[in-house]
Amino acid sequence: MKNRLRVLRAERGWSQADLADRLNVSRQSVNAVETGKYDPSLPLAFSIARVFGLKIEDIFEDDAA
Amino acid sequence: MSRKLNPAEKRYLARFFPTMIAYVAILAFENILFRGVELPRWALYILAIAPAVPIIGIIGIMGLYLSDETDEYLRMQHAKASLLATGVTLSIATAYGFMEDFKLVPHLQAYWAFVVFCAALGLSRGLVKAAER
Repeated sequence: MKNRLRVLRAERGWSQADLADRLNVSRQSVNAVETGKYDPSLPLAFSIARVFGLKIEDIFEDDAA
Repeated sequence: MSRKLNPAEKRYLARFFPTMIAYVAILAFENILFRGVELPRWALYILAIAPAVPIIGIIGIMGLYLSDETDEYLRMQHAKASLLATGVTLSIATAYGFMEDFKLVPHLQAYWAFVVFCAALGLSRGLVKAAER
């Protein structure tokens, strides 16, 4: 699933490790989500949206849409 | 492991090492005290099962780790690796069993399946990580 995590992180000057700390997950998890290798569960997607102060659909792109 | 261990991984190690020490201690204890000693059948059952208990504990500890892990990506990686290792172990055990039937290989005790599983799990973890790189 495509997403804007890299851009959103860059806008805030956060590294993957910074985002991982905020989400309470490993840096590997952030990397896997960011590179589209792993689609997060709904709870993790909500956490990501909350951390950036955005809606899930502002971060993740629905490939099927 | 290059990254810092998370709480679930720390709990896994805190459970794993004492259980492995118990396994080694039971084996050593039995070998030192009871090797060549005539014992009633019921006592032999207890001695035979005793080293299996910590190994069964290790299998439970592996399962506990999966339910303890709050990082869903790491949990998925471990679950994939465990399934792959289980498949490899069952395949090897099945093939070996038939080779035994054909007298091609010597008899091996069934507990070797756990050793094969541990080796397969180590390889599977590497494979799963490499596949997602």
